[in-house]
Amino acid sequence: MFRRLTHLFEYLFRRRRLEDDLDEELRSSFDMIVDRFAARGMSPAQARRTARLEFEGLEQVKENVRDGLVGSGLQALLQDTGYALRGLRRRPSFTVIALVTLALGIGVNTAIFSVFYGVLLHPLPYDRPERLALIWASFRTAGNARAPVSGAILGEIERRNRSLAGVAGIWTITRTFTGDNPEQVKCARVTTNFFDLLGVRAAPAHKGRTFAKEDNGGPAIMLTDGFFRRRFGGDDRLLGKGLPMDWENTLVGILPPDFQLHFAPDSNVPADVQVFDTFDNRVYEGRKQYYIRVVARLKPGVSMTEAQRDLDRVATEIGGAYAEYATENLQFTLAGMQADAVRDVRPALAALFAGAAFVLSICCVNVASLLLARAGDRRKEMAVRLSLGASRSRIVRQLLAEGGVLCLLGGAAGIAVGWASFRGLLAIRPERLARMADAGLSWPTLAFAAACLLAAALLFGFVPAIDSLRLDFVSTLRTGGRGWVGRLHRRAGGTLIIGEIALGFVLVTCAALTARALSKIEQVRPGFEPRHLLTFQISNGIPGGTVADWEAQLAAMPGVERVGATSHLPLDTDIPNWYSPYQPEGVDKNQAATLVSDLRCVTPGYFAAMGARLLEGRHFDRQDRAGGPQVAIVDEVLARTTWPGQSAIGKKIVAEHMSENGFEPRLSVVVGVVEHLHNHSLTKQVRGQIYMPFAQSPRSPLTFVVRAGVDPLSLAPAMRKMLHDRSKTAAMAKVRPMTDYLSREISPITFTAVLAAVFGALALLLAVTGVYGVFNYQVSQRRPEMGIRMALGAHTGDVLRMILREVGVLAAAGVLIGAVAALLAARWLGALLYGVGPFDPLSYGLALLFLPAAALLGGWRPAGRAAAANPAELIREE
Amino acid sequence: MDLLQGTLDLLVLRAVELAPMHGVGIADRIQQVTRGAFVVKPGSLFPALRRLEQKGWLEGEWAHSENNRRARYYKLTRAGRAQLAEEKRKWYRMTSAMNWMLESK
Repeated sequence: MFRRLTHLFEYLFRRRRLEDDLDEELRSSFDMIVDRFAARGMSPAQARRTARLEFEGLEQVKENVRDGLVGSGLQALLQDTGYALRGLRRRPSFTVIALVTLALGIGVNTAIFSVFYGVLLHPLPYDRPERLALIWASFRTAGNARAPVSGAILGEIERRNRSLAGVAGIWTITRTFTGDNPEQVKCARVTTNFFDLLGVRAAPAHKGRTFAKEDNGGPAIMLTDGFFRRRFGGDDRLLGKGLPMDWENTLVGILPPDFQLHFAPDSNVPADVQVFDTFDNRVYEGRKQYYIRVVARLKPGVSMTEAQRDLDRVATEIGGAYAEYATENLQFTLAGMQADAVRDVRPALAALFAGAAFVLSICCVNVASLLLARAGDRRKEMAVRLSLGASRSRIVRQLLAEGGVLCLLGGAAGIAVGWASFRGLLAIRPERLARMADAGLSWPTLAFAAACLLAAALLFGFVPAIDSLRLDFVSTLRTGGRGWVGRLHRRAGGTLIIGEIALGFVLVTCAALTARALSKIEQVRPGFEPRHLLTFQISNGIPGGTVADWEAQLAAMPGVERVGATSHLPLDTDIPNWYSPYQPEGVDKNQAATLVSDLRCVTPGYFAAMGARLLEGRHFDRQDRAGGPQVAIVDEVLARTTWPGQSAIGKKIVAEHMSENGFEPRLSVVVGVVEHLHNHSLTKQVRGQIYMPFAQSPRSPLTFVVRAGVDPLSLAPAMRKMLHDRSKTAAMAKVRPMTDYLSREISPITFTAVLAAVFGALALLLAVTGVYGVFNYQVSQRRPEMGIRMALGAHTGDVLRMILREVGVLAAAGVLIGAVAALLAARWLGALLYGVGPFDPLSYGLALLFLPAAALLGGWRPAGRAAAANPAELIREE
Repeated sequence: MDLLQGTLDLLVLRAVELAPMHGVGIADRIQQVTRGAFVVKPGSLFPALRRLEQKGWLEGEWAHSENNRRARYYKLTRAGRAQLAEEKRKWYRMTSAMNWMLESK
C-alpha cells in the first residue's frame, strides 16, 4: 500500500523525470534494433523503416506504458480535465450557450422539484405519518362527500372499529385573550388523545405536558411555541396557572416550535391555530351536529383498503342502530392524511413538474446537439490524434471528460439558478404551498439535481464518444472530416428540431391556457364587490352596546360608506361552514332530506355593504327583530332550484336557527332574493344559501364588513381605538381587506400561471438556440454544396430561401406534432383551466404564431451565412 | 504463439534472473530460449517492464551496453526473486493440473 502511494506520488510529481527516462530508454532500444538490422546488411534507411514497423509507433508504446502504471488514471483524468477546460475556453460562444442551457434546465428542475418534494413528498412532521388518515363522513343522500362528523358518530367509530389504533377529533373556534392588549385567536378543540395519536410531545424546553385523559372537557390548554413567546415572552412560570382569557383555563404545556397542523382547506382546521383545549365528545350528544374532523391512526400491519372495509362495516352498523343515519345513507371515507392535505394542489404541482421535465429534456437535447456538432467539427483533430498514436479509449475518455466538465460547471450554475428561483417561488408561494418552505433545497432535492446531471453527463459524453468510436480516420482525413456524421447529423438534427418545436408548442399553449384561465377567474364576479371593503371579526358580542349601535358608530366615521355584518364571511375558511337541510313548506320530510343549504345570519346592512345585488323583494330591516315574524332571504340558486319558475317571495321554509336552546328548526317567510355569493370557491356555485336576520338567529363571532371611500386598511386604527374605548378586553381579529381573501383564493392559479409563463418563455428561447445550433453546424458542413449551387447560377436569395424552407418544413412538422400533444396536455390540465376550453383557439393561435417565428429567428443567421458565402472561395476549400 | 494471459511477467522475471539486462536484450532472450515461440513486441514489453518496476520487483539502472549505447538495465530485486519463485510454483501447479486432465483416460 505504502509503495503504491509512493509510486503514485512519484508518478504525479516526478513525471517529467519518468517521461524523460522512458523517452531515452525507448530511443536507445529503437537504435539498438536499427543497429541489428543494419548489421544484417540493410541500408540505414531500410533498417530504420523495419525497426519502426517492429516498434509500432513510439508514441503508442509510451501511451501503453503510461496506461499500465499506478496513478495513470488520475493523471489522465487531470490531464483530460485540463484539456477539456482549455477546449471550452477556446470556444466561448459554444460554452456560454451550453452552460446557460444546462443551468436553466437543471435550475428550473431543481426549484420545481423542491416545491414538489416539500409539498407532496416530504413526510408530515408526525410520528410514522404514513399510518395517519382522515375519516370523512359522506352523506350520500345530501350529496356531501367530505362532511365532518358529530360527537356521537366519533364515539361510535371509536367503539366499533377493529382496524384503528386510535381515533381523535378536532374542530376550531375563536377565543379572546384579555388583558391590556386583547387579542382574538383561533382555538382548536381536540380530544385528549389528539397529540398522542399524532405522536407529538410537549416542547421539552418547557416543563409542560400534552393533554391527559383526565383533561377531557376541562380547563387544560396548550399554546403553540410562537404564540407563547410572542404574547407571554416564553415565561415558564405561567405553566400550571390560568391565563387571562374569556374562558376558564390552566396552561399545561407548550407545543414544540416546529409543530404545525396540516389539514385540507375544506376541513376548516386552519394552520395558524394558536391555542388548543379539549372537548368532551360525550357532552355533544346532538346526533345531527356535524362539526368534528376525525384523524385516525391505523393499527400496525393494517392497510388503507382493509381499514376502509372495516369502516364500511362500521357505517352499516351505525345505520342499523340509528334510523336517522340510515336515511341519510351515512358512509365513511378514509384518506391518507398527507394525501388529503394536498389533494387540491396535487394536479397543479404534477403539471408544473411535468413542465419542468419537458424543459430539462429540451435543454439536454440542445446541449447534445451542440456537442454533436462540435464533435463533428473536431473529427479531423481526432483522426490526426488517432494516427499519431492516441488510443481510442483515450479519446473516448477525453470526450467523456468534456461532457463531464461541462455538466459539472452547468450543474453548479444550475444549482445556483435553482436556489435563486426557489427563493423567488417562496416569495410568490400560495398559502396552500406553505410546506415548500419546510423542506427547502434538501438532500432529496440535491440528489434529484445530481441524478439529472448524471443523466445529462452520460448523454452528452456518450453521444460524441460513440460517434468517435466508429471513426474511421483514414476516410475522415481523406474527405476532410465531413463523412457520414454530417449526414447523420442532418437527419438527427432535423429530429431534434422537430422535437423542440413540438415541446415548445405544448409549453407555450399550456402557458397561454393557464394565463387565460387566470384572467377569466380574475373577472369572475364573486357575488359581491370585493374592492374597498374592510373586514374584521369580533367574538362574544359588542361590549357596552348592541351590534346595531356599533354599526351606527362605524358608519358615522369619515370615509365609511356602508356597514354590515355576517356570521360567515365568503371565502373565509377558518370558521366551520354552517349548513344543514331545509324544508320548503309543502315538501315532505323525506324528500326534503336531500335539500341542503348554507346558512348565515346577517345584519340589515350586510348585502348593501358587500355590494351584493338584491334581485327581488327587500333587505332585512330594524323591524325584523327577535320575537317578531321570522323572515329569511335566499340566494338565486336556492330560489331557482326550490321553486323553479315561481317567485320565492312569500314562500315558507323550515331552516335551522340559532336560539338560546342551541340550534333548532324554525319556519320563516322568504322576503328577498339576492345574487349567489361565492362562499367557498370563486369558480363553483357550491350550494344554495339561506340568510336570517342576526337579531332572530344571533351567532358569534361576527365578521363586520365596512365599505370605504378611502383605503380600507387606513380605517383600522381608528376602529380599534373605538372598540378599545368600549372595553379594554374586547379584541378585533383578522383585520383585512376583502381582496386578501380573493387573492388567497386565486394565488395557486397565479403561481401556476407565472411558472407556466416562465416555462413557455424558456421553451421559446431553447427553440431559437436549438434551431440556430443545428443549422449553424449544417451550413458549415454544406458550404461546398452552397458554393457549387451558386457557381451553377443560384442567387443569394435562392440559397437563403432554400435554408429557410428547410427550417420551415421542420417547424411545420414540429407544430403539427406539438398541436396533437398540446391537445392531450390541455385535456390533462382540465381541472386547472377555469372558463377556458381545452381547444381555446387563442392559446393555440399564439403558439402557432410564436414557434414558427422562433424557428425562423434561429435559422436566420445560419441562412444568411450560407447566402453570403463566396462561391469561388468555397470551392477552392475543397 | 500468443502469450497466455499473465505469463509475460513470469517470462520477463525469469529472463533477468541470472543477470541484469536491457529491454531489447530481454525480448531477444525470451525469443531465443523459447525457440521463437514467444515474440514480445515493444508495445507490450515496455509497459510490462515499467509495471514490474513500479511493483518493486525490478530495478532499472542506466549503464552502457556491449556496443557502447546507453541502455536501461533491469535487475531482479529481493522482492522480485520471491515473486518469481511464487509465480513458478503457480505455473507448475497449473501445468501439472492441465497435464493430469489432458492425460486422463
